[in-house]
Amino acid sequence: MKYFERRDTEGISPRLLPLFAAFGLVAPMALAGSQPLVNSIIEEASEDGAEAEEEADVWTAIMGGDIVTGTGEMLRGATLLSKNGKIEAIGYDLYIPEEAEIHNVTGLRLYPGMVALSASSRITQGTLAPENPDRFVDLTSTDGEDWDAEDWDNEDWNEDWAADDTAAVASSEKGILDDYDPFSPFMTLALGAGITTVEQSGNAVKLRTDSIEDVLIAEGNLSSFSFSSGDARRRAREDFAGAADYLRAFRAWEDKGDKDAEEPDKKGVNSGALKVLRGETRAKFNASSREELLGIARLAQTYGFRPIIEGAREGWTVADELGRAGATIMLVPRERRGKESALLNAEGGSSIENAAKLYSAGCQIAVQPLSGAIDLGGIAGRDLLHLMIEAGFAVRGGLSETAALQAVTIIPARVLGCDHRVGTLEVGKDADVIVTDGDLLHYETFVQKAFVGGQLSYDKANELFYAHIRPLPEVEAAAEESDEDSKAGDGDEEPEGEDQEAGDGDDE
Amino acid sequence: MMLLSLALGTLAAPAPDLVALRVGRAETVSQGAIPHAVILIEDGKIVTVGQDLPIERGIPVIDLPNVVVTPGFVNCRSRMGLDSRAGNGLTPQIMALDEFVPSAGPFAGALEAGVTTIGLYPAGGGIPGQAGALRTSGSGLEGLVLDESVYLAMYVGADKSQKKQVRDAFESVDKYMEKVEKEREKYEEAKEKAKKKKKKDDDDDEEDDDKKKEDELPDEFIAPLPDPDVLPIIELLNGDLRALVGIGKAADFLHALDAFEGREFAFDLQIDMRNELDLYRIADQIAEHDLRVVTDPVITLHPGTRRERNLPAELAAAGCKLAFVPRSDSSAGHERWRREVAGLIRYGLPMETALRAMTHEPAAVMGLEDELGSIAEGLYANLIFFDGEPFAETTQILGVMLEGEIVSGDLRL
Repeated sequence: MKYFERRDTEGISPRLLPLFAAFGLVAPMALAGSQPLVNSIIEEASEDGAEAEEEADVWTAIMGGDIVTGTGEMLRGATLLSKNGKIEAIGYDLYIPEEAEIHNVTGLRLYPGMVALSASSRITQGTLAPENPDRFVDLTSTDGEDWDAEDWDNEDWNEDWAADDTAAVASSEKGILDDYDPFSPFMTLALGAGITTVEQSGNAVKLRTDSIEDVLIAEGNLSSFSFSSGDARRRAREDFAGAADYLRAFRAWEDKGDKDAEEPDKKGVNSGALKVLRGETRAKFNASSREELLGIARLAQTYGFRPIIEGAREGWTVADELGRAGATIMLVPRERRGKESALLNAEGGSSIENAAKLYSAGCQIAVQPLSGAIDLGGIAGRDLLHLMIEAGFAVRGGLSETAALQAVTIIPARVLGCDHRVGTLEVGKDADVIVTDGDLLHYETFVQKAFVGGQLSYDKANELFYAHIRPLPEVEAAAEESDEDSKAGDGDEEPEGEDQEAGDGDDE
Repeated sequence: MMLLSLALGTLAAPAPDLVALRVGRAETVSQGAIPHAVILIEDGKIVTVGQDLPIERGIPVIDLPNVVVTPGFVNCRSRMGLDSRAGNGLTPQIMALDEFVPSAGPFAGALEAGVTTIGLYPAGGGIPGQAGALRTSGSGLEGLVLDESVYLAMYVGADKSQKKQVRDAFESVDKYMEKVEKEREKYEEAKEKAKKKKKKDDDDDEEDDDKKKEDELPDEFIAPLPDPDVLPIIELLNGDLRALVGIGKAADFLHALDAFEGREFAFDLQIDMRNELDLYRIADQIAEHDLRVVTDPVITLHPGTRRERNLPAELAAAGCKLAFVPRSDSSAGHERWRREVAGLIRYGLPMETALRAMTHEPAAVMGLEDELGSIAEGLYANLIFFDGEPFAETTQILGVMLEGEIVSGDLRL
């Protein structure tokens, strides 16, 4: 039995003696006995680290579905085999290891998981921390804040960014990982909408529902520039001119190989523009009017980079110029806005044909929804949950179905710099697969299953949100067969949990 | 030794403060329910417990044939009698009991409700300090305090500032260990030098200064004292202190494990029950790590729905250990506590698990399971006397015994 003992700040309480002994240290002060020196905790720690466990391979086989690879082919009734989260093989009569988890999806379609640009941070961070007076919730931190497109267009922000962009990237990406909530209901909803990767402040983050590891797959692929005002345009031109001058001077200095000559001064050179010209990042602009778009196309051609333009409402009026500049366009097909009166007789405003015209002029098209959040009110229907419907609207405006599929998969993956891992179904890439009950771009189609890294992360039949809406025939049949009080539209509870909930309450 | 011999009945004249209770049933928690139990108590401790034990002549016997006895309830996480001042920082050296003033006598209500042990935790976020354990009755601070340091409170969540604090705390230990290593190397170098010098001295037989230097070196290496805010973390990693890790949602647990970076130490989880809580997602993982979950006994709603879930029962079914705290940390809250738990039992939580979650498990959260929390040999005689089934609606508490003495209720021994 331990009695209350005040800690003496002068000496060391007897309670602490064993502590030092276990550390292999002799206790300081007069209390020091003749303890032999044993292993220190540091040595123990290094021993622990040496134990490396070898984990067994994890196999998943998704069999019998029509596989739309996203590279142009469709393999009917084929099998996709995943090993440790990567696609091992796609094809027919594959050898399936015995330990493989098998999913029969005959009659359904497989698509690469969609990649959602400009997604709100809520998707991976769930709700705010619960109310608890003892728990510190810093509401001024990025917790409740969304990094939406507007932030990128803020000039002050851009200046700060230019000043210290590497630090900003490092801290923001750390924040994403430290706030990641694999159990967020938003994440489940997004998976149900066919999305397996989202942009979070310029970084590509996977929607994993089982772990917080290996979720950040690409970071800092974009350098943002403002082009919205006269001032901003001038500054952007100066930035690129300055960076080009510096690069020229640097190459000349390098070619000379003169050790004594001083390296060109980097001071005053915009690091974002420098990275773009070096090919390390891609320049991203937020622009809608034809005037801005033309300016960006000219800037890009002058300095030889391929711009990414978000918005591009009037892109269809200057499609050829944007195509020649090799632009990638992030657009919202359902955007509606009339032209500025100043344009008089010239073409302007939004057009349903925007995506189609830009595509045929050679631009790469990425489709994004009007809102990157999941809205349960307001503009519901035009939010992240309707990315595939949004892409469907581009098809309505004349875009080919292949291009529309690419506009929500591989093109946004390229924008984020993660196209080597996601965006198409190819051997060696991540097994991020969605299984649908029809054409992905059709309004009637539901995502039935979503696999992230070969792991089943969403199953419509077991997910509360959509299970009751047009269930697959076999799921319906199974539900009818079972007891009346079994709930087909149940959440992701374990069977035991379900029993608990049904609780007979026979204790009292 | 004396206690043992008493139990065996070899001592002819029993000590006067020895007493035997004969009760209808004893819910011992550690050995299950014992009908017609005899509990032998001496000096505030339980000497033995068993069914229909023969009682030595001369030992006073108290017959309570219609009474059900359980261990005294233990609330391992309370702020009763403390103010609500809270900070947010890395202050593991702070003791919750340091701010406790015994004069107010805030535990009367809790005691009446059968709570015999209370753990007071330090307020604040991050790593706010260490909790202490109190008796709910006693004279003065000395009489109330059981143990001044029972666990280190710690909050980790899916939040970068919270995670950073925990990482910083562990890094401070690493830094201290590096410092110790350096000092040790320095010391060994000095010793080596001194040895060589000594040899030289033996050869040359001169220079007293060097001899002086050698005298200054202690025989064994003495480690520098760690900072007070590092010490509790060292104790934690060393196994001398447990931690109670507060989380707010299922994902926080994964982030906590991430922040611990594989360091192994004893800890339990604490979470406030609330609607939409997604704890069922990690029930298996909690069970796998063999952790206790300190929580309040509430039925909650499944995320996004009005469907009720008995999360504590689900956790128990998954193999997690439960320790309950009252929903409201007030006298009235403690009085309602038993009824709240009864509600969970009605919806599927086994009664044994529920009782355990109010006695043995919270005692174990505080590392006091060998002193209280069940009715077993050698433990404090902290008992509640019920006039019926402990969790039945109409059952009344007849009396509460704290270390052998009735401290509440109308029961007279």
